[in-house]
Amino acid sequence: MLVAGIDIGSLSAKAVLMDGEELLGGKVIYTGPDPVESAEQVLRQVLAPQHLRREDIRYIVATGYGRVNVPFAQSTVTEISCHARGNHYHFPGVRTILDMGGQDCKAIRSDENGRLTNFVMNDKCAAGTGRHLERVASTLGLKLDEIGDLSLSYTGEPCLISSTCAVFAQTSIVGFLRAGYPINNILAGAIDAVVDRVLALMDAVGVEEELCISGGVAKNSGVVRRVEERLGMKARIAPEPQIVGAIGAALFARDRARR
Amino acid sequence: MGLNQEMETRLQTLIRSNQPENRMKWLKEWKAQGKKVIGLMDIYVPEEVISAAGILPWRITGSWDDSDPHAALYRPEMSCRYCSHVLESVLSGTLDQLDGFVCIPVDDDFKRLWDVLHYLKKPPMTYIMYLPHSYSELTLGMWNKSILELKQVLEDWTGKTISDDALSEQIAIYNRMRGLLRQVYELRKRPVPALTGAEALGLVTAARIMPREEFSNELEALLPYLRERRGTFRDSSCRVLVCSEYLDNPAYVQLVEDCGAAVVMDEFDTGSKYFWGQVEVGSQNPWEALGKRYMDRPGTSRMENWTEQIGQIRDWVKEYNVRGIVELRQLYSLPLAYRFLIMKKELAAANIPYVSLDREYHLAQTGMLSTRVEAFLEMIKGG
Repeated sequence: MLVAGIDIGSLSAKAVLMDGEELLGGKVIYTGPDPVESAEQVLRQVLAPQHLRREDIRYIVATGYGRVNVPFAQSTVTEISCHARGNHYHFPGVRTILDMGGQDCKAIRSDENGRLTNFVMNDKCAAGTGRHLERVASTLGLKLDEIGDLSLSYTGEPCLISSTCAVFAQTSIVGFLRAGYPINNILAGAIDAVVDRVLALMDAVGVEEELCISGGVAKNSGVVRRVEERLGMKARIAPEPQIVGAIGAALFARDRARR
Repeated sequence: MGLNQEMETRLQTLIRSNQPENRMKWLKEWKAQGKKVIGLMDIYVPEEVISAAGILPWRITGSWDDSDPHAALYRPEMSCRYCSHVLESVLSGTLDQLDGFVCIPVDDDFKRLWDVLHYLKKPPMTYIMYLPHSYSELTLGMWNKSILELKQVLEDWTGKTISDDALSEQIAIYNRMRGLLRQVYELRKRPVPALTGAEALGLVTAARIMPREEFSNELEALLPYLRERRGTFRDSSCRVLVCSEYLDNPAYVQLVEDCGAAVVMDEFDTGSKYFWGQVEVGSQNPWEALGKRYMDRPGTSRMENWTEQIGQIRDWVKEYNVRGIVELRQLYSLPLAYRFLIMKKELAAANIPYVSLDREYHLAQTGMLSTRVEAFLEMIKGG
């Protein structure tokens, strides 16, 4: 039975196809200004290599902030439940999840069945999100995928950067640049600040092993290493952390198709 | 128009009384009769005393607009949003027809609001009552004295004496209103409640701006219809209780219901707490009986008997067959924030699912709120 999960996030749109327990394929594209078009496009792209059509899919669940804008989805589930479920698919022992997306960050607790048991979200400020890290990279003239490793190789002390506000953080970064501080130290400070924020969220739900990190920011080695060091535990990361929410949505789709 | 359709129209008219386009109606009508109207902001000012002076006690709903440009000149952004939106309404001239304000010092934010109101608008009458933070024989005595001081202030201002008989008459009118609202809330215990949470909030906020007798007459006429009515819910099985303070916009409750919950009970100062508990008229002095009622009924978070307040919530959870609690805590409203920690601990110990979410006073950030509420409902439904 073919099912699909579609996750329309603020920065990227994700789609996966599943047949039973088997993950047939997944796709990530940038979310355009029209979430409906993004949903259609990402689904087309995940279907094409399989030589399948939308009509072949038995059930589709949409998730993410744009979940209500997917007209061809039969139902919706929040990204919070979907990340709990999607991480459980990869790591059945997971109990704590840190999902760091484009515009928000979530600390999630789940049980042995991948069911949501507690959560806290932070999206009042961009600090601690993928969008913030994009701005940090751009301010320093770097690519997003470079900043994680660079933030880990610095000498001396990291620059002290505000964790309370993304705008203040940007101002601090510009100030340190003008003062001639090394880019690696500035990056180390910027990512320390991000980690300060996410750890406060995790503290609010309590951390229990196993820990998973998902979402686009899970690809940032600087964030992952610091979270691991501060929590004193290894983080598990899915092969493609950006599609974990979509996988969760597809698993919900499978359940609902069976009802 | 069939009878049911006619009753439904009357019910919806009553429920929509506190919507911006309707809420000035009774104030204007009262003023047109040459009578005075006093604005109130909390549920501790004993309205019966104001009514006994021939004045309409009228609960102030702040501006529901997105911004508060006038108020922002006098109040920091990180302060009680209800107070800011009340000040916005006052400074923008929306409430110019009010003859005065009576409030209690909920917290320092309310005191500063009162200072600014007093200084900038110089209304004919402003009075801030004393209210204790705890309930004991000693503080009840001080509270009763505060009520008598309010009586004196009103008498001095109007030049008319407020007799014991006039107060007793108003106590009877208010008891009738409270009793009728209580009957409506009983209908929320049903498997499919008679009205939605958003409708219930509309009803109670209507009571606080209308002449109470007029409100009661209309509600009494609607009760037989309400007893037959079934509220419209997306999912009536996921029964939740919503906690909040200064929440007067039913759109927030509607948001929770649109996420798939049935809001079957509230812990609002603008809802259940307004009318819960009667004045026990008997051999007691009516002034003392009145004071006792205002201390006896479930307190707001401003009173520091938080364990009792949470005990009341737990009772309601049982009585209304509630599966989870959603708290919509107004940003920068500190008393409820202080209560949060003990509430979280006690509800967890009682195994009652609970989520506390920040909100603005005006309707804002609905997408973020919806995601959190939906996730909470998914959690209590088990995925």
